[in-house]
Amino acid sequence: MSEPVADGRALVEVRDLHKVFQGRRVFGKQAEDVHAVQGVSFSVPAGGSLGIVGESGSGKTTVARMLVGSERPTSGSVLLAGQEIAWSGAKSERLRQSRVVQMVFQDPYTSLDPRQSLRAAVDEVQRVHFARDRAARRARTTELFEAVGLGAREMRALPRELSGGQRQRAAIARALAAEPRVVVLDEALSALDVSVQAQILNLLADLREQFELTYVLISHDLAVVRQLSNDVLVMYRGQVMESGPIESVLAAPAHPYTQRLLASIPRAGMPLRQRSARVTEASGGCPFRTRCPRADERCAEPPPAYALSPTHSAHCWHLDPDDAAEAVPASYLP
Amino acid sequence: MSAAAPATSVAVRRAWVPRLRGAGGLAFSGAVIVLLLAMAAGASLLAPHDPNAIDLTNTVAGSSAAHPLGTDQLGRDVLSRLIYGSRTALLGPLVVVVGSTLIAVPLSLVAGYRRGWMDSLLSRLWDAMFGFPTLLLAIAIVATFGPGFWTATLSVTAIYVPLLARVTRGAVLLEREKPYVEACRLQGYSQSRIVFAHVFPNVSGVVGAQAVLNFGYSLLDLAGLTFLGFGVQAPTADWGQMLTDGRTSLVQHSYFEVVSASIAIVVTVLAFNAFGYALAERAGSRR
Amino acid sequence: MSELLLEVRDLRTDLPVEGRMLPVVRGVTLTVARGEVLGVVGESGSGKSVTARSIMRLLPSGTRVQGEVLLGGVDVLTLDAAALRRVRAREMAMIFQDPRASINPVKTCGAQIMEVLRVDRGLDRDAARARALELLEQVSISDPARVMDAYPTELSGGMLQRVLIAIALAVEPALMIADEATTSLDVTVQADILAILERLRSEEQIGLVFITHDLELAAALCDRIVVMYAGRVVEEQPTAALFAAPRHPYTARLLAARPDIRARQERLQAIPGRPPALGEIPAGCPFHPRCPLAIETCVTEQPAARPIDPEGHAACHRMDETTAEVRAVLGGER
Repeated sequence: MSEPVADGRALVEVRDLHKVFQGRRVFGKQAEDVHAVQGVSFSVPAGGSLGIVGESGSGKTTVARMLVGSERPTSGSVLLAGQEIAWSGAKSERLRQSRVVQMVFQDPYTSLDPRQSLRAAVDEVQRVHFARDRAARRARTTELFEAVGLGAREMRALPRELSGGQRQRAAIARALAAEPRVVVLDEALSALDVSVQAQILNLLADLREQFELTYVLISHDLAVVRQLSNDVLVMYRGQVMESGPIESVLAAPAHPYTQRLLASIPRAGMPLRQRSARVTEASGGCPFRTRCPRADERCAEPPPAYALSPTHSAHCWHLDPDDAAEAVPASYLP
Repeated sequence: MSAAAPATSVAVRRAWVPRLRGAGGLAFSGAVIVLLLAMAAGASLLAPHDPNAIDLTNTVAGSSAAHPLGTDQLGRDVLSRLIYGSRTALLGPLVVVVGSTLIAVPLSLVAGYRRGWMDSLLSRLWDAMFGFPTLLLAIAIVATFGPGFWTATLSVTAIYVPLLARVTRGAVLLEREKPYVEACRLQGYSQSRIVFAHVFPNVSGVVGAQAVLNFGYSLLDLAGLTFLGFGVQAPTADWGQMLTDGRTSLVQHSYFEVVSASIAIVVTVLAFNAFGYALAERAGSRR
Repeated sequence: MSELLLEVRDLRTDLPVEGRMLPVVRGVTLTVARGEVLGVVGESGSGKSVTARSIMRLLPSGTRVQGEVLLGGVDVLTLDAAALRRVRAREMAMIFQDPRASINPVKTCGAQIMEVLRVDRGLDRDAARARALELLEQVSISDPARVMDAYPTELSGGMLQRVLIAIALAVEPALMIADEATTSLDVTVQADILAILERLRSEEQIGLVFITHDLELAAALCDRIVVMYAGRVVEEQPTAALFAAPRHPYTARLLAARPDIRARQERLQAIPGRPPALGEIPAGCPFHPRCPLAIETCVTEQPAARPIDPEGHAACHRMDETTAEVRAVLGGER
């Protein structure tokens, strides 16, 4: 994990983020509040690449939305380039923010305006953000499309005339048109064919260098995160289970959930063991305790972060004795 | 990037598709509409007689060379009245559709996108208006301001605003949830840019189709109002007027007025409905 | 493992698209034995889903299906409506990608399982209820009584998919087809579903056709894998052999294009271009525009399936060459 913010270099900083979705009342029955994100903190240095991994209900998408200002946290703060995200909605604020962080969405089929040619979409971004004349915008648009691997024919096309991979490239070009420093990729590769996914992964790696970008990649696929990210945050039911540099976490996963995740990844010859499915949920304490082989009474208390190394930590009372030698309770505010 | 340009080896056969739907439907109904417009525009050239020429010596006559559709109770040529009647039949609904669109669409676009108090207020207003049977509401308005083509037309316009507003709002609510709209927000676009440059083009298909459908329905409402005496007043040639005048001729076993006016109304309404549905299909399949 | 349960011979399916009949499945031949799991792997446009639906005859009217689909020796394609209903009630079942779309939200899960039992198996209410509970236990649901009375909206995706498998099992099928049945599920849940399918195979000797776009997923469960591209089978081999020594360049490239969770690669070996869209299938070998080994013959002549020693076949003009060039591409396991 990146160094704490003291040196001021963290480009993205998230502190103790919480998001509660109010339960709705339907026909007199009050639904429960959903505590989608509970106490998430992390930071990403300029030029870094963080992968946030989790399954459904982990809260990773909500975190992504809070990073770009689409969702307002119930508590906690999000800082971009040292400045807190403004929730006022004032136009100048929104414009400033969109120059810092942009997002590429999961579904290439609905993330582009179906009525707008790709070229017009990228041109529009420039018109709103920069004082360039038409020729300069045209030139920049061509540059951006070349950078993402699309040609003149695709530029003039409408989204529905293109494939998923091409649309995703266009979405990336549009995000880059605002010249952001941080790009949040919300499952941006999940809807693509394997062969196309590889192309886009290569492209994203190239672009990161070319445009000096910082990535926050939301994904359920650890292999993709491995390929594109330096650090990883493993989330479960709104909480961080484990975090650290991707090599450490994948080579020596400390948290039982991370271990379970890795064990579940399909591969030839994997042991297929049956587990019963239960309908119950846990409340309070560690959210994984209903499915955890190491759970006991202590887990009703939320576990603090144990540092396995200066950069790698896990939130668990029952870390492996082998790791325990180095495990020292550490406060986890960046 | 795209696959290299190879020759397709696959033999493709064109399956025969019934031509009433899709592009065929559009063309066919479009043609009928164009014919109606021509009839209205060229009425003075097409009509064999002056529609208001009274001839009391030749009332309720049957079909003849001079009067293919006979004459009405005042001796006026039915065919000429039919042809001239197309003018109010097209003008009235046109005013209704254009008027209701100009009022309902911008309001619903903004209210539907922003939600909030404006949306709640307008929704209540439309709900209140929906509570009344349309024709009664129109009659109430006409009764207040006096009958005539314009009062009837404007009151029917008011009736159609809630309908179009609802359809627009529904489409906007769907559209605003889509990621590309959120992407626009993330780009820092102003609300007016998002609403008018992005949301509107994407709902215009559905809204336009509804507007065209309203053409047919409002024609029915206007003809009905005229039939009841609240719309176009005598002696203007109008299909609704012909229906009410024709009642006397019916008693004397002359069906021409009533039947021809009815057929004219039905054909017009069907043509606009078919056109509207074809447009809606186009709008749907484009996605 | 003796007799062939399913034999598909030269299946050709054409779908009506905007007034034209487009070939989606272009001559597929495959077999499944009792107690065997056959994987069908392909990207979009490969025709794998349509193949499955052709076997089950679940295609919309206007589709043209040719060839033979022999289930226990009987050609399913020639059956009349009544006979087809009997086959669906007794011998084959299918589960789909989105469990929520495949189940009736206004009836309880129990009611839906019981409906199948009463209609297809003629059980009375009590017997159906008892059997339904049994089936739910078979799919490792620890509290079957509770799930019986639950509505689909109250259950998670993974739970629902188990219920759907239970419904499929209610007909006691000899053949089951799973079309991307785990794609929309979390990876930990997916592992559980795989375990259930594996147990069904070994205990009930059900023949399973497992359709997926994920080669590793297929490798986890399947005995043999069929790789499809542009409506045809390009390779078929036992799983281990396929991974160790693929004989078709597409298979090899597909294997190489995946990001590897064990290590980040400098650059992923992406396949240039993209899978052909319906109606744009190239002449000759459909893969030739993207193939690193393409030669003159590949552009004009469609390769026939050639046997692989000892088991399997592949459709590539150059598969038997032993030149360095070919060996470099068909490298095998990473």
